[in-house]
Amino acid sequence: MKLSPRPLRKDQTKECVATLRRVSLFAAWSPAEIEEFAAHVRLLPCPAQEVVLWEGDAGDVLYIIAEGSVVVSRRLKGDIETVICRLHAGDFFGELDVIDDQSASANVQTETACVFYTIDRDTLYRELETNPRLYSKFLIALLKEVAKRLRTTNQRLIDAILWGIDATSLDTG
Amino acid sequence: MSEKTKPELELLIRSRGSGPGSSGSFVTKRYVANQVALTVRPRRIPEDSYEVQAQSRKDRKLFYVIRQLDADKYLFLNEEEYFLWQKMDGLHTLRDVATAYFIKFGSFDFRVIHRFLARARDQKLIVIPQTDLLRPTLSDEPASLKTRALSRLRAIDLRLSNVDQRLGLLYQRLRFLFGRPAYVAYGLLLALGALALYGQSDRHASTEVLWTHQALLLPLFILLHGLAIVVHELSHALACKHFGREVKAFGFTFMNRLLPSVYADVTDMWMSTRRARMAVSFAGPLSGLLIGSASAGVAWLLPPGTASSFFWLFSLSILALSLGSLYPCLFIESDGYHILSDWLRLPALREHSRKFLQGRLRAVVQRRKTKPMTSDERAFLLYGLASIASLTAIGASLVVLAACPMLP
Repeated sequence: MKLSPRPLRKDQTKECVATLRRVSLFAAWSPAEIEEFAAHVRLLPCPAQEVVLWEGDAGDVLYIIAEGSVVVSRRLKGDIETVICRLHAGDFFGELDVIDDQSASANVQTETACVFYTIDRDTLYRELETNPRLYSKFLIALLKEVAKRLRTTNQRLIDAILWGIDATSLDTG
Repeated sequence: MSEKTKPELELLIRSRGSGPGSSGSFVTKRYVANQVALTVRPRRIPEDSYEVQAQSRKDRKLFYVIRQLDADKYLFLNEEEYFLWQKMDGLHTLRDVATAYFIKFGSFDFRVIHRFLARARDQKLIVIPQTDLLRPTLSDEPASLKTRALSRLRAIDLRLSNVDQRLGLLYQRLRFLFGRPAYVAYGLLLALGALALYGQSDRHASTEVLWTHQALLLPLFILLHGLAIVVHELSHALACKHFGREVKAFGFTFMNRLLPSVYADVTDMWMSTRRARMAVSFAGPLSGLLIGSASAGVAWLLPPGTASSFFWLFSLSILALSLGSLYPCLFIESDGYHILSDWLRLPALREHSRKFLQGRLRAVVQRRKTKPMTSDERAFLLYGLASIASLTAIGASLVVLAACPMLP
């Protein structure tokens, strides 16, 4: 099912602003800055068990989870994928694809019914480029998030190795 | 480490048919590593689900053939692997099995167990209940359209139903073909054929005859070859019934990269003796040699003309194909290969030869010293070199034939 984001109604903007204030990417923004940014955000409701992004899709949209939770996974073999993480309300995804103009690096599917706020790359950069201070705040927040995810990935790597050691009984401890 | 703190592997299993471009449901499952390797208890399938036959090799060592009755799968085991097989009764852990192996054989490499388990599970002869939750979820790569089309074509398998029963009845009627008088008759016919070939040795075989009479002889030529192939496979099947084993299938399929083939599945002969297997392998080409000899005789007896030329061409063609199928050294599993492999008591001769040649080549390239060859390895080497030489000769002949029209 092809999902199409739609513009926010006036009554939905307040709720969007409240959500964006909880997102770490916009933690350093002022309420006015968030409100101005929210005018360019679109709403995307999504039922459960729906794939929002396939690995390899053209990645040019930043998704912010307003409601629900998603599972991020990467394909292993056939129909089997490894779960990378779960994201909940207040989290976001698609930020890497927006930065480096590459295709989506993982599958993202809704575990429960979700509501997303989306903004495409061109709109995002256009808004940020008009305000360099905002741009730098955004990038610093993005960098912190990427560092956090890198630490998580390192821990997952250790867990995967431990799993393998445990499974093959190489560990004598 | 407690169960709660043990690392988990979480997998997402997508329902079939959901892939890029479509949506579909999925489930997530968590797996805790549970010392899979040593604490599981692999279990043989029930005794009434398989049969075992010991076979002797050239070096007097035994190897065992285990046949899974339901899925018609076979496993060839050496003595060490057969020991492992016997120990895997569902009551002993892999740790127990490994300990017993060490006590029996004095040395141990855990990879032996892994390799054996992989093969046995592949042939559905052993189950490991604790880990089989994960295994079925790891499926094959989704195939491309071309691969799926080829797979569908290859899956075409037109088989006779109740084939073993039917062939059993046919064998009862044709039993006389497997008696001493019949063997004498075969000898005489082959001698007649040799005489006919000698008598017409100065005769040219030209395909022009097939294009006479509005080229009606061409489809007849092809039809007779088709019938000869059916007789070839039927000979294998009837010989298998003669030795009291089961013919598991007889039909038409696309094998070996889309070659249309009639086939008789006589793999049950693995449960019989070496001599019986060699006889069954020989039965097919023998039928071709007999047909070719008869055809050569007919061509000799007929007055010169279209009919004589037709039978002469047919006899040469069938004899060439039959002798070709008896030739063992082409890296393919021809009837001749099976006879050679059984005669040398070297099952999987082709695979062993390939691996041995690769190993030797690597050793030569890396300038490594190698141990003196065993007698088996000499056989692998000879077989491999003979196959390479034969394939090279065939390739060169084809090139020359193709280039012939271009030569002045």
